Amino acid sequence: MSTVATPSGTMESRSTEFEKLFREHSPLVYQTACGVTSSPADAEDVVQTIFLRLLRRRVPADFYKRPERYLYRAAINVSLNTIRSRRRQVLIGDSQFFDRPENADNPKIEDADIVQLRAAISKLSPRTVEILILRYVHDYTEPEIAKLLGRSRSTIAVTLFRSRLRLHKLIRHASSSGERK
Amino acid sequence: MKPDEANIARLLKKSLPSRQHRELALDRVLQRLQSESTPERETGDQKIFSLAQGADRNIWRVSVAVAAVALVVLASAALIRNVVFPKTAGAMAEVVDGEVVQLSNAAGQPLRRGKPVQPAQVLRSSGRGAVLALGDGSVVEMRSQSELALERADDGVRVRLDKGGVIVNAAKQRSGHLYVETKDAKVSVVGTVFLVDAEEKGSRVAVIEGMVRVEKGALAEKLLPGEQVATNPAVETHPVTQEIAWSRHAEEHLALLQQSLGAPAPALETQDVFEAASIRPSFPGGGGRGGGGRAVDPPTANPCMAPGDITLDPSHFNAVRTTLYGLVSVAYGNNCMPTDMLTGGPDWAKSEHFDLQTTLPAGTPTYTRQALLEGNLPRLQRMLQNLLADRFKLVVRREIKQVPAYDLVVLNEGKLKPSADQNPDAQFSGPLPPARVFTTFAPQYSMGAWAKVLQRILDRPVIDKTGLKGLYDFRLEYSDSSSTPADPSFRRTAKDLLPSVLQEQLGLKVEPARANVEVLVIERAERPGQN
Repeated sequence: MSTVATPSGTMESRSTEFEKLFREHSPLVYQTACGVTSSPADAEDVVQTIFLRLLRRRVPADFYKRPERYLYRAAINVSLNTIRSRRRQVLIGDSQFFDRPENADNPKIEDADIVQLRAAISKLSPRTVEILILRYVHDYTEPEIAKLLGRSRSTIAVTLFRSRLRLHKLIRHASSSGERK
Repeated sequence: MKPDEANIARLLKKSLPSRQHRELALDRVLQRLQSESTPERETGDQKIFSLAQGADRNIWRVSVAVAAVALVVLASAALIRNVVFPKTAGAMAEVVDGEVVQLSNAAGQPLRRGKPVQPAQVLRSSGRGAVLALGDGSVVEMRSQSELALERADDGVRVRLDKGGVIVNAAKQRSGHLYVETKDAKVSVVGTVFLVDAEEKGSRVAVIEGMVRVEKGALAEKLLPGEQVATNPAVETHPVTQEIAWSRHAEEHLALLQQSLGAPAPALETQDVFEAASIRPSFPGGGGRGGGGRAVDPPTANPCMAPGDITLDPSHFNAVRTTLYGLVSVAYGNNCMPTDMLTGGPDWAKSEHFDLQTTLPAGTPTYTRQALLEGNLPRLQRMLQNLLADRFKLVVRREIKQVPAYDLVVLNEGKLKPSADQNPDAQFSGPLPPARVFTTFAPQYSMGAWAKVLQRILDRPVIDKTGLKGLYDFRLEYSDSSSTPADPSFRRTAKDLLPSVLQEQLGLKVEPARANVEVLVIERAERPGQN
């Protein structure tokens, strides 16, 4: 992927433009990351990672055409990486990870439903999660999602239906295997 | 909304913070990002690139043999300067070993030993690479398939590295500078040995001897021997000892590096201290002294810090249930160093747990826990080094040592699954799986990052010698039902089974080898006294 520099100019003007970009788009990134990771602390890390990339001038060539689209996609990808890596740690990590709560910063959000939902989301494709979060976290309608992502409304509807089924199945499977143990 | 939908929406929204909380969180992030973008010359001590290897130039006496090797290298450079170079007017350098192909002017024509190199002529090294001698006595060794051009700068000579890697043995400059420029970094030197790699994702600079200044835009960083920087976190870094392995003078460079690391250490920067710090023994249950005796583990392999044990926010850095080994590992290098790479010190340093609570000085740039565990927060690491020296009376030295290692080689490439997305930006940049992980799915890992995962399981340095580029989805299935990850025997079992599983499932092999690596040795440590 080719990359372009963030706005040129003096350091002060670049800093102002960066802050403007951050103020405008960081809530979308943060809310998205919260929805995927279920952890405000992780969401803070996700926002920082993505905007640090921008600060270091690593953005795709078409970034300024639709920054929100790039940032939303990046938020989904980085958030999924975060929960997948955490899933590896908890499911297969060494015993020291079993002794303590997974997210010591936010113990109250670690209820069983959320843990199961997050584990299930981590098994979905990034493109499916994009649609899911737009629909259920940002409350976009199906036509709005279709327009934003450049797909047909029926594709969005089918993807949502299938992803709900898949989530339902994954959560049910996780619950039943938990009971067996 | 259908029942399913309502449930999913409820759960997804359950962890959304209030608007006020969100604004506070985003303000914190913006503050950190703004401190990240402050140039070094404004803050004085705030480094802006990620330091992959911090070097503590400590008490290490220079051996006569090493000095002799260094003299040979310097003498060779002088010989090249005085005798060999240059015989042709207008030439900037001369090929003294190997072969390069011209990509500009007489495109496609080879330049062999003894041929002059004209200004701005773009060259590509072929075969085993090539060596160029510059007019000032500096020597540039090109890795195979590297591309560069030599240009005249206002105050010296500029090596424009477009692709590949070079090791530069820069002569003392009487006036002016020698520069090496890549697309995103500029290195200036006055007499030193260093290497530069130019990759698509960014550049990497490492120092073998002397000091270099690396600039990226308005930001600057000084590097000392053993240290390296990458201009982009996606660029993989390896220990300097591995980075120089391709050179035809690898042994001499290694000796120089060893000599440089043994030179007297500059005093730690005194401004890098915590505002307040408390270290006290951990007690089982974490509930203070009422829980029984001290928390102690059997002193086996090097302990790692678990991300969940660390709290890092803009004003605090706290760690619970960590050993001195864990703290040293994070302060001086990367979390979870293999046993042979962190040695020495009393037995309790591996087994007794401590709780650390600190207050960071105002304006400290703080990042993520993961950045700390990967050794990418140099200023915080220096604060931790100062604290350990003060409270544990810790004395650590670095040395280059040959230790048992594994070479990672490929036997059957067909068993590897390349990632669907090969975009370098898609490379997995989050936390690596913790030590002792065995059954794992690692999507979008480069072979180098995968070698680091294997290193943690095998507890030995793993050197990527597959030569494979690109990203892969690695999946290993652990099907032995006799132990679980929570079982103490799991790690041993995983370590024993890994070589055969790796070969069977991924077509990769770890071959026992020996490698020169930078080793941390704890020379002295005392239990901390009262806060």
